[in-house]
Amino acid sequence: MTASTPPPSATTATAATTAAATPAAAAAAAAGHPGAGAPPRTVLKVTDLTVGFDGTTAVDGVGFELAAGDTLGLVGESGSGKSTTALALLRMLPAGGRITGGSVELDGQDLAALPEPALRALRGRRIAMVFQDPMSSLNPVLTVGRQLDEALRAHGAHPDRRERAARAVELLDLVGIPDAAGRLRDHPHRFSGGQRQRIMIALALANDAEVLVADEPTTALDPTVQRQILDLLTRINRRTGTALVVISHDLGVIARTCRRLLVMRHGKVVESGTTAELLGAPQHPYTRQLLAAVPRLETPSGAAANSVPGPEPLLTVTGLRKTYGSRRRAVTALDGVDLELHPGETLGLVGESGSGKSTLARALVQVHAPSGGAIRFRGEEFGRGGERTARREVQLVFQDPYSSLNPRMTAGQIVAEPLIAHGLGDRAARAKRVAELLEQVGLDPASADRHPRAFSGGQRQRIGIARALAPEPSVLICDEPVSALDVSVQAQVLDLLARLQRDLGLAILFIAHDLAVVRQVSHRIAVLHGGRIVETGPADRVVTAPEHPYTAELLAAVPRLDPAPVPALTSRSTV
Amino acid sequence: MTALAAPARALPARARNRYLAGLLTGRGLTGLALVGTVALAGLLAPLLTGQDPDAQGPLALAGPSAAHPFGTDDLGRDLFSRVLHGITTDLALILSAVPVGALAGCSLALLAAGHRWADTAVQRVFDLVLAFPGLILALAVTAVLGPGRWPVFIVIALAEIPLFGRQLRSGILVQREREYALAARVGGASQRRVLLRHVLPNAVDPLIVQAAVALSVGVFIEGAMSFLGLGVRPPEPTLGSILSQSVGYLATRPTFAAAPLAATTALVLGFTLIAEALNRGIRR
Amino acid sequence: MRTFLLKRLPSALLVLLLASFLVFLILRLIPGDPATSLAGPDAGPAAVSAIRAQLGLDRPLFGQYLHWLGQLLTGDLGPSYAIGGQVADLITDGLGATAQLTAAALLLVVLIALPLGVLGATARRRPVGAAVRAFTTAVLAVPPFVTGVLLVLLFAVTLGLLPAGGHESLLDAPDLALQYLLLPAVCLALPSAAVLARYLTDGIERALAEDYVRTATAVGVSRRRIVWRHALPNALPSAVTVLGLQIGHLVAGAVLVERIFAWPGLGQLVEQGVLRRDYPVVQDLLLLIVAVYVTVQLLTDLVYAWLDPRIRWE
Repeated sequence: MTASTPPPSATTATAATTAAATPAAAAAAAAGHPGAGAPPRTVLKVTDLTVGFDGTTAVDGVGFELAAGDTLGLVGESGSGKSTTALALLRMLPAGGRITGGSVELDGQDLAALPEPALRALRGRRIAMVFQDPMSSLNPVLTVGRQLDEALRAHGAHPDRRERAARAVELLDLVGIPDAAGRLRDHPHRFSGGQRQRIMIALALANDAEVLVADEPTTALDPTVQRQILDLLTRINRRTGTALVVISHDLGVIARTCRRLLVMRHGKVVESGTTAELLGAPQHPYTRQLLAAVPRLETPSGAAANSVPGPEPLLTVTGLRKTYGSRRRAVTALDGVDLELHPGETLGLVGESGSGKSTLARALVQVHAPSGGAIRFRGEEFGRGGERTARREVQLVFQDPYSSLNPRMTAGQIVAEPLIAHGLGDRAARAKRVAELLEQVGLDPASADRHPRAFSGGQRQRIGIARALAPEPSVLICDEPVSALDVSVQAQVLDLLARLQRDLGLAILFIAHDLAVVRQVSHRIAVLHGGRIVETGPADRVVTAPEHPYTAELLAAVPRLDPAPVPALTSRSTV
Repeated sequence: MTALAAPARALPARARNRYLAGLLTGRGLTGLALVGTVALAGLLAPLLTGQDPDAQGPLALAGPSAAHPFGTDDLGRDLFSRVLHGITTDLALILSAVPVGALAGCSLALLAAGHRWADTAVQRVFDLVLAFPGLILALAVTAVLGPGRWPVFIVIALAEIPLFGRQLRSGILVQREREYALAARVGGASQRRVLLRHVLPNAVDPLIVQAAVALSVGVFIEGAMSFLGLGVRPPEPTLGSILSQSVGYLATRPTFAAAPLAATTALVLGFTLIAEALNRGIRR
Repeated sequence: MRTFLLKRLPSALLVLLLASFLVFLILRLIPGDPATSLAGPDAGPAAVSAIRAQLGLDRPLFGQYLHWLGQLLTGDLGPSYAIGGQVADLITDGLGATAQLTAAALLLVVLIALPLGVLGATARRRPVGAAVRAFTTAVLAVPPFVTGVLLVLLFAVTLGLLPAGGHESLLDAPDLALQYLLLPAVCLALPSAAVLARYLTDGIERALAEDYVRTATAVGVSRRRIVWRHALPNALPSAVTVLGLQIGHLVAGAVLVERIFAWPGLGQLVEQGVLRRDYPVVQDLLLLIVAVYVTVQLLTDLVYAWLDPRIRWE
């Protein structure tokens, strides 16, 4: 493990960013808090923070200041070092990671230099953290009450067990868990994803920390739930005066919660300032590029310019039903879905988790049989001949470009698989076609003999698209094809899909939760809720004049980039 | 969801390299050296010693000497020759029985992957075999066949069937739900092709570790069966039979037990270290 | 819990039934006629067939099987062929000693494995961790019968602290009985304890890498408490499964250990039965062991479900 010294330019850059951030913060704080008199004290001061991972530098000279009760956002794409920065604040870096330079001062005390026991006494009590994945971040075998109790007793504030239980109820109440007292004895798996994130926040708040670091707190959640959690964070910031540091890849999330913003790239801060300034007048080219790549809900659909749908439907779904489980405890995933997909058309299918969108996708590619209703392809019903043509002509692009590629096969083998399965061409013809397909999706054909691990996320998604294109399909089902990708990569993949539609006349069923993306790519949009299509219509009309209240609710939950509600700076108080 | 897009590591992803990387650690190399030395000594037995392992001499329970490097046993037979030939017998038995058991177990697991009813049936078979733990299985088999080489072979093979089978079955169940397997199905691959081409290669990793564990279990079973008089019939030497003979003289002639004990321990320890090294290599 | 039992019970009973049939069939495959060997080399055909009739061997095979099942259900197991006496009496004579031995070993397995397993995970980079690893590896690498003999040599012959073998009733002389019990129980327990410790170490190490441990660290829970209160409970369910399998090995290993320490239990009986081809003794004992195994598996499943709240609700 070598302590890598930051390049000389980093130090000057840091000095510049720190200088830029501080006066802005002070000015804004004074403006937002006219009655406060003296400027609020700085609770967290990070100077020239550098983190090394086995020789490579993940965070390179980051510096910022956070006033008591203030809100700060860290935004960046994957690999920008934003999450590592968050973990370094509590010195909780994963194995191999080490703070190699700089300081993290909490009220003047340098956390980077503190011995472990002293640091433990501060974690959760002075500075706390909320993590990304609420599914895995709560202990599955301990009750929620036990976990809150553990957090409370860790700092010995409440020696009496009943007192701690009462405080636990209070905390669950604060984060909005209904029937808090009754749910202390439940295990995490009994709560929904959003509720688990609320519990995570309760854990972090248990000891009245002054600084709450939230690392991608809503990334794993649905838009409507995301909105609730962000509102909760804002409410807590206002009510208790807990200073917030929110880390996110999503500028909209930051715009909604944070007064100030740091943009990170390659471990460095490229720009910082108040959210309003940065979003209104970005200075750094990278910030501008990042802002430009974010899909906006206001952008009208570009699908019509791309292709004109044919008159006769290619794929027709009528009254599709799917139930899971035993007869006694049946779960209805699809409850009578009607859809039409025309040649050359992109139909956007919007829905949150549990709406049945993945079930629908899987029924269309015949991974499982529906419980009722009919699917027709080119006029022929599945089960009466239609399924055979559809098996080759309807292909699926997956959400997760990491798990959907066989790690043991090379890119070339992966793309060739459908060719072999459908008996298309001999070995030489297949090799030629694979090269052609890789070229078509914008990959170097020479990389065919590399394994998926050697590709980036966006490149992997291209391999997945090439695989889907291999048997020359007429319909492409894209199940959240860009939601696992960075915004800049997202834009490239969307461009690729549009180009493919133009060149090949593909019909695309574009399944996603992000309405802005869906509007941009779709001719029409269908909204799926509780296993039913609640609304279908031209893409622009559905977004601008929703007919169903659920569609309106979805639209309201989309984080906007206009930083209208700047959270006020509040003085600290205990709950 | 964004965290999925971690920076791509430019690592060569060949699975073989991971095994190799595991084996080329201190632990793995020690294991290989131990097993290699013992196996080589056994293979070269005819070259290393001209003595007949079964020839009785006048000198019983002698200590090490120039004529008998490891001394002699209670019947005056040369221990050096007996231990070397014992290694050969042990390795021949284990290296034939473990693959047979592994193959049978894996075949059953693959069969189980085909149909639901086949899965239930295969699981009951595994349960049934597991219900006769180790030595009890040995007793049951010997009750029918009498002591000898075949019962040892059968017991080792039988004991390995459910261990390999269950391991592979759970691996298949996990891998089959992965998205790449789904992608293969959507791409048009038959159920058979998905299983053999996609799922199986991703489910074999734990089996490699299991194989190294199984070999050491084989050494134990042979030894325990010999100890109870259920193993390979005398006078043919095995490590277990020499050890069990020597146990009666441990207090008075500790050198008698030294060589067979060292060989047995080296084999088991070697296999265990190899298994651990492979396991760490895979998990990395 | 009742539905859980109702779901598991049928397959457990099925395994038991299949095993009984298998055991019965295996013993009928043995070449040679037990009646002939019982009657002795000089007996005439009349004497042999008299013995056959007396033992019920002249009945059709399936009838014999049903008869045996009936015996099992009534508890009247009939006479042994070669060893002498009623099978039920022979089994009850040895059962106490063997149960004592395996129970003591089981207790030791848990007492040894738990601290070793935790130490193995928490002290990985310290000498203690290396020592624990070396110990478990050594125990696993030396055949149990050699371990037994080495224990006798050390504690009985060299140090003279404990008796080398034998048995004393727990009721008559508890202190003496414990002295007799200690060495065989340790010998029986060590391999299983080493296996269990390994699994515990592995499970705790894996739990320590989970996100919820990061959460606990972030709220300020101490390392020690994280290991015992957060990681260990997640490692326990699979450790219990391993322990269940190890109980089977304890029962089987008892045969070996009883031989080494001259412990008058069922191990000696089953060994005698196999070598002297005493059908009833062997088939009843084999089935008893299978029944113990099946019961233990059922209990293991129950404990697993009790330890892992996610299972209970499904």
